[in-house]
Amino acid sequence: MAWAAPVVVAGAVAAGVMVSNASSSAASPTLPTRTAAQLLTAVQKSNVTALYGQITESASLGLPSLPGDRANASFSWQTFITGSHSAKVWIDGPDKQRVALVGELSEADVVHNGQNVWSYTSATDTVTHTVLPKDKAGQTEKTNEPSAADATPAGLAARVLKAIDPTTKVAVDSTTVVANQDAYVLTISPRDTRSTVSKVTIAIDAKKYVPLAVKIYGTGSTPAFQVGFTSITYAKPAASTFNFQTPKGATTSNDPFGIKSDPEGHHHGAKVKGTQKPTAEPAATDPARSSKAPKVIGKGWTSVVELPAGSAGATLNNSTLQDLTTSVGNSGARLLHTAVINAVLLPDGRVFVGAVSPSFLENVAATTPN
Amino acid sequence: MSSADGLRTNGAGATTGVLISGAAPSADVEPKRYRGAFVRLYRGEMRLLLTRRRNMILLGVLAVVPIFIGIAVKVSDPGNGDGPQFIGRITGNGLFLVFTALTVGIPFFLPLVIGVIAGDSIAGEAGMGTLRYLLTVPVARGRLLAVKTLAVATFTFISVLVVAIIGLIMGAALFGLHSLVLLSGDTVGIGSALLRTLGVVAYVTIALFALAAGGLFISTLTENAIAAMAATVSIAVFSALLDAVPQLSAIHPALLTDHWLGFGELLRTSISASDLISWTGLHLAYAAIFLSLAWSRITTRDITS
Repeated sequence: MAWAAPVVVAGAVAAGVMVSNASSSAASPTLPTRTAAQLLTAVQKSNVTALYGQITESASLGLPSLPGDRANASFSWQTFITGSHSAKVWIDGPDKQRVALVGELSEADVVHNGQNVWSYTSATDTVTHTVLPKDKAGQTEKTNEPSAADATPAGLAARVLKAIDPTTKVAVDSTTVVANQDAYVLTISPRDTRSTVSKVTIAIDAKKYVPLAVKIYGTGSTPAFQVGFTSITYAKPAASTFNFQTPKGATTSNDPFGIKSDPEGHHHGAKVKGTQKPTAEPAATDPARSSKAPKVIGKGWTSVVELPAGSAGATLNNSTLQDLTTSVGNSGARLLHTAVINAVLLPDGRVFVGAVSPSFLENVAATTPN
Repeated sequence: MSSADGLRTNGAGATTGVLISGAAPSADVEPKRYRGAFVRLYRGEMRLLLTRRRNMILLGVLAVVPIFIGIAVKVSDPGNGDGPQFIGRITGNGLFLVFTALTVGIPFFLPLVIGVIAGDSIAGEAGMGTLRYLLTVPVARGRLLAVKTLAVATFTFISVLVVAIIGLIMGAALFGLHSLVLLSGDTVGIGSALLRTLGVVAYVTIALFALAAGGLFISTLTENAIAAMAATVSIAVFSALLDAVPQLSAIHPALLTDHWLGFGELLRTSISASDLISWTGLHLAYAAIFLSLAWSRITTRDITS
């Protein structure tokens, strides 16, 4: 009978875990019916301007794990394409935002307050400070900080919703619970079967109409990429959150993320370029970056982005990239294959990137003249 | 020599092979409770732990960690290159020596010390043949385990404190203490910084106590103290090993060692209380399970030596 004690304790622990998980698990609350259009309008009209929340992002693209794990938080491209990461966001209207990417013993912050944008990376103790032009001050999220803004569900949802056109099926077909909030699930799926994206789901708060989670599904049953709140509070963050003072002793630099000089921003094409510096440090501005703009070939879900030669030319000799890619055909082209995004790197330096099947992408690459 | 200590060294050869306290586990007759017996036993236990030369050497090894790092950084500034977390920050603020030393100590040195203390705790007594004399003290077996647990917990706290205080003294002497630049880039005053450091010590103590509880359980299983010590250290090493295998990422959050470095949360502008509570809860859950196993074992075990 004495051995009942550990059983009871273990049972209590298991019960405790279950109770704490029950509130956050994927239950299906009963909510008034909404059509997709109603939901989207409500999202647009949502009067939530201030919030604080914790976000978890995870990518299982089928890539091997890369440097830039949870030990060192930094806004580098590796951070977002492998493993799982968490962040905290504070939003107070269009002029004040803060994102903190949380590493185990490190943190990378971007603070936007009016015309000022600061970034801080604890691992290198580096600060950057940018003063935005006056007329743009209110729109930083859209113009200057793709990596920071797109890490939030709202930013990602906006991008996905923009892609909606006749090629796409949109439905509200279930409900869920995200970060303790009842939510509708908006499911977006491409009609074109050549796309590697099978569906995208967006969980939308049923009361506040704030997008809470986005999941992108490839061919598998688990999301290839997901980002969502694990907790959210619709309260105005303390003003001090946005008053960043350059800490004493920190190194100041001008543009460590390269985000302003990078028209692609968070786009996956930018990540391929980033392979030239496969370290956990923020990607430095690529001197070889061509001034030629990338081209978009095709429309809708099967559109392919062509990055001109020079923008990624040196990467074919990079050993990390050699490990990540496989050879296709006999022309020396290489394929980077993930659960959603595929990229073909041609020997002449051009790179084709798209959420399409490898054969479709190779075909586009072969038929597009240099 | 304490009273409890004295009990363990005289009367050798008496009542070998006889269950002494709480003879039949089912009919565990509670010995009469004497006022202060528990406190006396705890005091004796602590005196024994702190005066044993081996344990003093172990604490000395822990103290060497911040001293060594402090001198190394003073001699040659590592900048922000490789090395343990925060090491590049020490020159600017001696307080970071505490965090660096803890980060260095947590994966191996601290588990080693705790493994020795907890593993030896009961198995050592059994191996030396002193456990049965200890049970002649008017304290039930469950209460004896409670005393042992409390003593091991105290020693865990002292171990962490040694690293922190020596780190603080060395840091202050070599680099000075200044306002703390948090991981978030915001700066807090020295008062808040010391308070946060205290929180870090508390967090790490609880995290390591989970391992100490495991050591206590293993210690009840055997009379071979060395085996119990090695097995306890192995828990930490094995857990860290599992934590390093990416294919097992699904079980990582539940591993004993996974959140040992979670004290970093206390060094942010906005501290996520829910994260700290759930991580500390995990450590306490491990401790509760190990201690209940130890209780079941010690109350049912035939103590013959």
